[in-house]
Amino acid sequence: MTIQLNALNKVYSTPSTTVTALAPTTLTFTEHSFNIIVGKSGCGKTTLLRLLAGLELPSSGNIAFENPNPKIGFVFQEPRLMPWLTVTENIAFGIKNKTTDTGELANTRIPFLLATLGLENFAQIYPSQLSGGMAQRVALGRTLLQNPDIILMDEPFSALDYFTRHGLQQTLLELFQKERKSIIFVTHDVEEAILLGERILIMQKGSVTSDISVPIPYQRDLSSPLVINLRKQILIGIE
Amino acid sequence: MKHWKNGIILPLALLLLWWLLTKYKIFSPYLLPSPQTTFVIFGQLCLDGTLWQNIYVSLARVFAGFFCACAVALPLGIICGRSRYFSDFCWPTLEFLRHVPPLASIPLIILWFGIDEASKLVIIFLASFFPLFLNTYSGIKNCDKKLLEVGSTLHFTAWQKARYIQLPAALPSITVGLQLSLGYSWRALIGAELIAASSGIGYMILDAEQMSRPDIVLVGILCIGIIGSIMDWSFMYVTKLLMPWQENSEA
Ligand SMILES: Nc1ncnc2c1ncn2[C@@H]1O[C@H](COP(=O)(O)OP(=O)(O)OP(=O)(O)O)[C@@H](O)[C@H]1O
Ligand SMILES: [Mg+2]
Repeated sequence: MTIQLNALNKVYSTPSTTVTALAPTTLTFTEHSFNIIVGKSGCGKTTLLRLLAGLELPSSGNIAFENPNPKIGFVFQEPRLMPWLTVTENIAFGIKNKTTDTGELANTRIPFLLATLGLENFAQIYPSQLSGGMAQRVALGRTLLQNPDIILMDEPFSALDYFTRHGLQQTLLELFQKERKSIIFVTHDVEEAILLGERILIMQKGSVTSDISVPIPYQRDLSSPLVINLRKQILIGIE
Repeated sequence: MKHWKNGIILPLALLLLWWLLTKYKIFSPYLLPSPQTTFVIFGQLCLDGTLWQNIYVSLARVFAGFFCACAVALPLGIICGRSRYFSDFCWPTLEFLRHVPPLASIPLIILWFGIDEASKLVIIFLASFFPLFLNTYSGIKNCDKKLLEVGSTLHFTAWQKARYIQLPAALPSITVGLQLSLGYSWRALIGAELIAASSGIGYMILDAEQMSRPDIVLVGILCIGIIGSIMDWSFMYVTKLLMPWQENSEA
């Protein structure tokens, strides 16, 4: 599903100051694309995602979704699991609001997700007993069970160690290639951006300043000249 | 419960002290009966059924009062926690009532509710209402905004957010409220039975006082303490069973 941002703008006003978190931005996200938003801390990445998810209302401008009732999933920076639910129940929480045919989904899709995310052995465990990486996988599972058309991810792997992050990046890539969701993925990690993105948007101080498409096939080699060049280009763009 | 062995030392020491005090007649037996006489009386009261009868009556009152308090405090706490308007509406009144100990209103309560069961219920109700209400209120109100946002991203309705996120998130707090409230109602019992009761543990103690029977008073006090502890302990036990995730996070 394509998403069209029309002069989308967000200003936070506090009694003392006003902060332009997102300067008026016009932009299109195409269907089945893996979009990365990268930029320094405080440049408005989270604000953009929250606007897309409807968690914030724009100060002006609008977002037009191709389908008037888009199914949007959100993976936060922290897992945000319900501490009173087990891993399976937390994943199933994603469809708690559906009243119809959840039985079939629960019977087939949840075991599939548990297997894909490597959580089979933790199905009946409570979040307090999970490591950060496993908890984040559960959060991803909860979002995927909704079967969203668009997945918004806000630095979902930034709190994880290198190996866990790498594993989850691969899982996400596999899922993306298999199911072709539209993904908008925020990160401040340039390597992560290069490994995952089909298109990389660079943000600076509330505006999108570069729009780079990455025509390199997946399983990208970070030491290939093409990638090294891209990396340079992005680093220059962010500065 | 693991460390009950340590916990038992102090009671045993006190028992020993009690025994020594009476053995060497440091206090007159009219003021402090010996452990032996107290336990004999305890046995007698058990055997002739008066103790059980009184305990039964008191427990029935406490549970009746406690359930009335739950029936009002829980919904009110939840509504106040959810609705800013409603909590603004109720707050000054409740704040005023909170500072008035139920004992202070006993004269009015007798006047309005008579000296029968109703007035005892009211006192227990008043004593157990606030801990439960306040804990429920704060549990609902202080629900993690981040979890509520998860509900928004999952397209939950307001009702679904309340039912599936706010309520379970508030459960630990509500449980603390229930536990406090049960304890408070048990303590308020004596106050309630001060009102011309003719049965109950509080009555047994008052009656014994008038008959100058400190041994029976001691039996009554011991019963109150022991039953209170048992109630509290069973309550915690049940909540642990009902909320396995809590136990896990403590361990
Ligand atoms: N609720 C808010 N009230 C006021 N200002 C806010 C609020 N949320 C964000 N801002 C401001 O908007 C700007 C952009 O914030 P945002 O969270 O989008 O940055 P970010 O790019 O996600 O940063 P990070 O990488 O650190 O997460 C910041 O200057 C921030 O202070
Ligand atoms: Mg952010």
